[in-house]
Amino acid sequence: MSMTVIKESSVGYTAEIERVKATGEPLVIEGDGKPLLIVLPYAEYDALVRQKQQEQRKTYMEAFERERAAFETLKPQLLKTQLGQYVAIHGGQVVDSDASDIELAKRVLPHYPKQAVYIQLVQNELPVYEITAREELTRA
Amino acid sequence: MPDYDSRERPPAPIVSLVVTNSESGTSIVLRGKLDTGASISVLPMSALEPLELYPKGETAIIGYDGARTVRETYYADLEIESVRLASVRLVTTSRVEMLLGRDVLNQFLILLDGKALTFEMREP
Repeated sequence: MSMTVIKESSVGYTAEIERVKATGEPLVIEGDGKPLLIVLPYAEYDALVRQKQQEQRKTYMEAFERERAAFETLKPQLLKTQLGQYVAIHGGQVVDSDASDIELAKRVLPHYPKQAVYIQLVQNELPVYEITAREELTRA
Repeated sequence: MPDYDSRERPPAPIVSLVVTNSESGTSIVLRGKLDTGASISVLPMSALEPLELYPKGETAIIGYDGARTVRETYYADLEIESVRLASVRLVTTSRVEMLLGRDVLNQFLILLDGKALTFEMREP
């Protein structure tokens, strides 16, 4: 990737920004001889953001799967001690429990921002909910 | 009082609401259809990315056709008609709008005036 570097003293950035739009090449804006900002075509910026989000999601989901597996490992014991309670699993351990998953989430999630936590009801089967609406809407 | 959405056939009560991921602070505005037939509220799958929302559990869902599927669960804050509900349990589908199920609707006093195609939704 080639870059165009302009100095703070450059008279206006319009021509350089037009070049970014035309060529797709990024533009580096310097101050005191050091790079301060970069101007990218929006599509390129958007692709970078999406790539970062995908990497974050992949990392999170791997951790989430570990917490889910930990719940399954702990489940036989939890069925004896916390049947009917929701538990929050983090770091492979039960970090809190409550009769309500909502109250548990309110209490636990702020302690682990952007970290994997698995909240589940301790019983033999998953809790079941119903959705009676069709998935797709028919519009006028 | 909000009007029913007449693009639905027949017209349906649909409310504008704000969904917030309390972890990231990101919010989006969505439309939510009042659905007493749903026992859990449903978020469009397309909202996960802008909300930076990640799963926190899983649950079984019985669909309109009786099919049972396992879905990941999410928790987000909802603001509906100036009422804020913290950490509402949600599942996702490919819908274009939210479904507000009984878990949410039971927090409100709701008056459906089907004849006039208006409705009221407020804290009891």
